[in-house]
Amino acid sequence: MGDLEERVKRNENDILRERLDTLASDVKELKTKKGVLSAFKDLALILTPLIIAGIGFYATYSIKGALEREQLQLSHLKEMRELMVKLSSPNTELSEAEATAVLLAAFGPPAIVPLIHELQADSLNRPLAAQEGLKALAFSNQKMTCEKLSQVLRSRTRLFKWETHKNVIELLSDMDCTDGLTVLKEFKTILESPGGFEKYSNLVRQAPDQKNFDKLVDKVKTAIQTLEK
Amino acid sequence: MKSIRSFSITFQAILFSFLLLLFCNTAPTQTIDCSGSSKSGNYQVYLDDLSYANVSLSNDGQLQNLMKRLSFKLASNVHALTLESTPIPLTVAYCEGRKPRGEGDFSENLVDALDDNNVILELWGQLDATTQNGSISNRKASICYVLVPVLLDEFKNPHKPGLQFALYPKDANIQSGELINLLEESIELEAFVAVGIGVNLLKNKKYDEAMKYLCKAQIILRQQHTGIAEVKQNALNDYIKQAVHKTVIDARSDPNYTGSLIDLVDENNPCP
Repeated sequence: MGDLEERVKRNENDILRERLDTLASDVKELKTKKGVLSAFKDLALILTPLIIAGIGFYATYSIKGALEREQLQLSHLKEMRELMVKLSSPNTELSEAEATAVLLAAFGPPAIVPLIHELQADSLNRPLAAQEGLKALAFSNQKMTCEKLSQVLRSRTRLFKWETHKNVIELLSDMDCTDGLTVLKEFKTILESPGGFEKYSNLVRQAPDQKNFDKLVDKVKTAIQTLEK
Repeated sequence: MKSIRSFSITFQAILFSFLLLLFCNTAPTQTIDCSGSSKSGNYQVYLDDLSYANVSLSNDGQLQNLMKRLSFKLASNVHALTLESTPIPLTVAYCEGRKPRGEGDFSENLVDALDDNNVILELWGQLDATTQNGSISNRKASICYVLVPVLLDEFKNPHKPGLQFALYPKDANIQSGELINLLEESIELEAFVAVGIGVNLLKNKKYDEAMKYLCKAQIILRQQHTGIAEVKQNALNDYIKQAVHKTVIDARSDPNYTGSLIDLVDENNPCP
């Protein structure tokens, strides 16, 4: 009996020790987990203000940048406006008008549309000056300028004059706008199709006479030849 | 003999080019837009301002008087031509403040743009004189003409038949008071306008009318008493001769043409 009691006690002790070991390891595990959590917590405490500061800085910077860009564009527009007024003045001499157009080209892409518009002017000097400005743009923004010029030839809305078409054809060739080849070929097809003169006359604001129509055909042929070389 | 003649022609060309530069290049350039220009599709003659070769000459009463009379005479001479019946009306565009210097101001692009606007002739004048010890003498006038379609066609021709000038008086002994009378007798203006109209008509495939105007110009320029230099006149005559020949050839090869040029016997000399 005494033996049995002793064995039972020993077993109970073993069980208790095992439980204690388990408990001890659980507590140790818990302690480790808590350490990681608290480390995360501490890190979060440090990072949160930094992240907020970063976001704040980025937002301020980007808004400020956008505002500055807007202001710059506005001041550019004001300067461009002054140049445009000078360019369109009937008292501006040709060489001065050309210099003004080249200066206008220094503003980059925003100058493309005003210069194309100048090609349309009912004037001798303004379209000539605008051509110089657009040629200057070929150095800095060739692709975009070529694309906008090609749009002029694509238009079928009687928005443009035949003189503008003539100047655009010459510019596409002078500026080496190889992307403009397709539109030039389409344009040539219209001009050389049966009844091409009448068809073309319906696409422009004022119909050219036969002499100027023939001139246009010659220009488009020369431009295609130049670009295909 | 041939080489002497060729040297003489070259010398004349150089001399007259020099004179052209001298008389058409001394005043400050001002190639502003022509305010009187129109987009009507009419043939246009640009009449630019007259100017003094030297600013100090502007105080000379006789030159001032000459300037007024010359301006009026030129304007009325050009205006008289517009009264003639032409296939497309001819108008004068008074270009106030426009004072080209000469050849240098007329780039191929500018000439092409003038041609686009049906400008057939642009002219301007300059008054000059010799100033010595405060006294002014030897007053003279030069009229510069740009025959737009001719200059465009012959841009690379060294004799520049499209660029003409007339110097008055041709004889240095003639008094400046007689300048206006000389201008009155000048017939070159009529010839220049006729060439411009003729070439435009040819390019518009109006062969019979083109022939009429080109022949008119040829007949006028055959006369001896034009105010222009012989070498320039010859270059222009050669150009007109070629234009006349081209008119016949183009007319005959045009399937839509049914006029009298088809049956012409002497295609090299179709003008009377």
